[in-house]
Amino acid sequence: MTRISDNPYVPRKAVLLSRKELSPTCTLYRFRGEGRGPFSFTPGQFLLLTVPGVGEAPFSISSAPSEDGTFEFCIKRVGRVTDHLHRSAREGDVFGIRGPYGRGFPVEEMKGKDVLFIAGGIGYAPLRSVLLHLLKERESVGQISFLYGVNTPVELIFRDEVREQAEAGTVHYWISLMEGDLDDFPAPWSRGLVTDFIPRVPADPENAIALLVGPPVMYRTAVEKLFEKGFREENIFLSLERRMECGIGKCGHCAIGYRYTCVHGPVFPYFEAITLTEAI
Amino acid sequence: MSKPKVGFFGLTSCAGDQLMVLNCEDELLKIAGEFEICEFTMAISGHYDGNLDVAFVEGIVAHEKDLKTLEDVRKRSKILVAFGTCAAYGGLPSMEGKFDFNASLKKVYGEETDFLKKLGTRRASPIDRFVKVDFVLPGCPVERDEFLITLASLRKGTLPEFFRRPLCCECKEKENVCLITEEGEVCCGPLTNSGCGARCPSLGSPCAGCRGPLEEIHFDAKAKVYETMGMPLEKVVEKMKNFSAPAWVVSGMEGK
Amino acid sequence: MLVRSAPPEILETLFSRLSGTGKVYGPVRQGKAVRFLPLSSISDAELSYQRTVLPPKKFFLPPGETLLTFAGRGEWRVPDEEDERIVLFGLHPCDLHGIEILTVFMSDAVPDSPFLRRREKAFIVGLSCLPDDKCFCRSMGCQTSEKGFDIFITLLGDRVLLRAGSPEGYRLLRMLDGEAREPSREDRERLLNFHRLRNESFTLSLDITDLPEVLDLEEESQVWEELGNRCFTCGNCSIVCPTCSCFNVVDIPSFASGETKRVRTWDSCLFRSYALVAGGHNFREKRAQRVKNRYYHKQKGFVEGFGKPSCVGCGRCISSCPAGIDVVSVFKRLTEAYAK
Ligand SMILES: Cc1cc2nc3c(=O)[nH]c(=O)nc-3n(C[C@H](O)[C@H](O)[C@H](O)COP(=O)(O)OP(=O)(O)OC[C@H]3O[C@@H](n4cnc5c(N)ncnc54)[C@H](O)[C@@H]3O)c2cc1C
Ligand code: SF4
Ligand code: SF4
Ligand code: SF4
Ligand code: SF4
Ligand code: FES
Repeated sequence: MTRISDNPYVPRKAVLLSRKELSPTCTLYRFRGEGRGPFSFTPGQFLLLTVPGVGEAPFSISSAPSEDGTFEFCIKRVGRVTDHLHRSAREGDVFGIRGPYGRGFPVEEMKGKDVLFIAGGIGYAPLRSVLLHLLKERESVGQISFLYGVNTPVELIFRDEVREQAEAGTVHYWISLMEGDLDDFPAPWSRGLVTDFIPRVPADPENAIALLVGPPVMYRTAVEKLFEKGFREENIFLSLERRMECGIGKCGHCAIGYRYTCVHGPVFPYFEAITLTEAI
Repeated sequence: MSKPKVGFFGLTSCAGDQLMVLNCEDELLKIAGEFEICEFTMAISGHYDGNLDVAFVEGIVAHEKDLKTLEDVRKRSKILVAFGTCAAYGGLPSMEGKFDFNASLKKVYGEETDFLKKLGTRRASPIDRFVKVDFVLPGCPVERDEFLITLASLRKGTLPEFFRRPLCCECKEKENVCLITEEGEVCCGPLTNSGCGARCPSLGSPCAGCRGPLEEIHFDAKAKVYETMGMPLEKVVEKMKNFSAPAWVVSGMEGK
Repeated sequence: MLVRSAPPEILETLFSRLSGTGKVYGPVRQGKAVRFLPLSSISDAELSYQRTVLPPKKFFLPPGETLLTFAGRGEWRVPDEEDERIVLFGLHPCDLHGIEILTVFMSDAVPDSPFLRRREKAFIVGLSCLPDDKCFCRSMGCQTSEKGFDIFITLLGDRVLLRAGSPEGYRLLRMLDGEAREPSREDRERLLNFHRLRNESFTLSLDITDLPEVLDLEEESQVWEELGNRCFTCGNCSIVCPTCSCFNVVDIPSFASGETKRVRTWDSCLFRSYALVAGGHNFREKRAQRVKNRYYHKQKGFVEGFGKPSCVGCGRCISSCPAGIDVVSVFKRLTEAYAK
């Protein structure tokens, strides 16, 4: 029998350091994890955040791995837990975190390659962790292109960061909107679907990795267009969202076939995701 | 933080849910200490017309006055809770949905039904037909525990999360043998919101569906299942409609 | 391991020994239901029971278990551990297998320590049985047990065989040496006869040899659609299943104390809310998809993940389904469709 280690349902403490509104529905929360050794994670991994007395929900870490034990979540207000956070969380409040859990993006494999990010809406949050990580050693990878789709201009979160990176030329952004305009923005944008840009992005499919995070409907089209462009299955990675109650492969909710999104994912190489019924 | 302002309102109803509140004897003082009870149809006679944080509305809309009260309360309240199965699903008073409305009136009140018309009497309906409902607390009456959990959550500035499963789950957790398979009874357990701890089946009587239908209502298919088990469809439909007839209308089963 | 033969009275001695080590639970008949309940003497137990309503998983994954209690702001604690050992008396082989399957699952990746601690603390006494018309454990390879018990009792009329399955069971059996002896030649014959009788008594069977492969081919079968229309999605079958372990977690505040309990409640993939995510997207919107999921998880998903199905053939889902749906005939219909 496996050794019974610490109770995995007991969160450790995390203190809210700051919060910043990114859009009417999204807020960036910065935390510091307390105790129990250093806090290391791979971009794409997630934590379960407890709002004491209210509930627990999974969120991807949105900041790059750092030494100082801090991390960020970008959280959209959609229900009980997120609503309560949005209305009541104050600096210095104590929250609970469990994790980091799951499999993240293969950051090592990206070395020396072009990286193509494709994000739909809040999907920017987990990809930002990868992006900020790569930007720490910008020379370690080739061209970075970022296709970022939102419905309306106000939903464009991290606007200042995006602008900065676009102006510096470190990241080539392509932004799609369903409605509205982006005046005076230092990156190409147009109306339509984020996947419309795929054929136009300059990336060498032989030597590139594509990372996708967005709503389920985005994946099918995105993958199809990536294939048309010459991307190979093993170079496409996507993060799947499922309902999660435990984060450790026990509650069953996130299961797809015999894989548990919380343990074997949430990031899956495309060739693995495609073997899972109902996955995309 | 100031105390949240709450109100308890009774539309046409038996006032059983309001009575349940008054029966929370051990907690009443604490409730009064932590909430400002501005209105309480059954317990406070004065009228208050300011704004409320939370309104608990019991009963069905059966005439124009109910409707007026309901619309007024909605306008004044941040959170409106459908309090009890009547408010939420129609409950027993809406059972007449199973029969012809005018014929029922005549049967009860005789030929002289003009005074009812003056009152604006209408087919009994759950409140979500008229106003937005923020939260549902089902039950006939509402479970005391669920009510207190709701208060505890409201005090934390949120609404509670009740995990609604079919009643059968609670019945099985009590380790009852199934009254359908073992006794051939018509039991509403598979269609009914959990939360009562399967009180009736645990005492040997089939679930009457008093906590209202689960979100996913497929009465037609489900009623047919009973039929395949040798139970006449009408009998099953009749029984299942007792507490949730309006839901049947929505699901297209009316008249079947 | 050690095997001993003794007259049935030895069960009383065994019981008194066991009750010295912890609270003893066993099958008790109450009306039409048999339930694992505390025993005060061996005579409380119904030794010839068929199946309990709930399987022994209720001892290890209790329904409505409190995982954590949140006190004030930023303070939380785990509930005090129950240190008392428990003895589970009279578990049939299918239930022993059920516990084994759950234990393997709960130990995988990140171990579920609340479950595993309770499991480690239980002393388990198995009991032989004869199948009824809803048992198909033999088809699932679960009619006998090689592990998962401390002692296994086989009832052979006026003798009983006691088999040790763990060092603790061994020690206990040794203590009974005064009343027990080596199995005789006659005992062996009786045991073989019992095996023969048991094996011949099965009326229900299911050939699962190629089932995962068949399931791969039958994803779109009409069978799922039809089942979706018949099934109440009431969850009875998951709740009573010895290997279904899905749960939902909710935080429940108390008005009186101001504390909040984080509680895990038994859940089922048959429920609509099970695969619902933010934005209202539901990965298994239709009942047919959900019913199918249960079958696929048991006979395909679990096989791929852990090498064997997560069904032990106990028949509980058959006996408790209000819609009269039974697993065996569902799989048979699929394989028939396949054979055509
Ligand atoms: C691996 C992972 C990473 C995520 N990362 C982020 C992120 O970075 N930022 C972000 O804003 N959101 C993220 N989410 C989504 C986020 O977890 C949900 O929006 C959150 O659970 C909603 O909680 P709530 O209590 O506010 O909403 P609820 O009141 O619980 O419900 C709102 C909706 O969410 C569904 N839901 C309920 N529980 C869950 C659950 N445990 N998981 C998913 N859906 C659920 C409900 O069915 C309902 O439709 C992530 C989800 C997963 C699985
Ligand atoms: S008795 Fe009723 S509630 Fe209980 S399992 Fe049977 S159908 Fe469900
Ligand atoms: S017990 Fe029967 S009716 Fe209920 S969910 Fe299971 S298969 Fe469906
Ligand atoms: S699926 Fe049915 S027969 Fe198989 S273990 Fe579960 S309850 Fe028993
Ligand atoms: S996924 Fe379904 S079949 Fe599998 S353990 Fe959970 S409830 Fe049981
Ligand atoms: S979140 Fe519970 S199994 Fe994955």
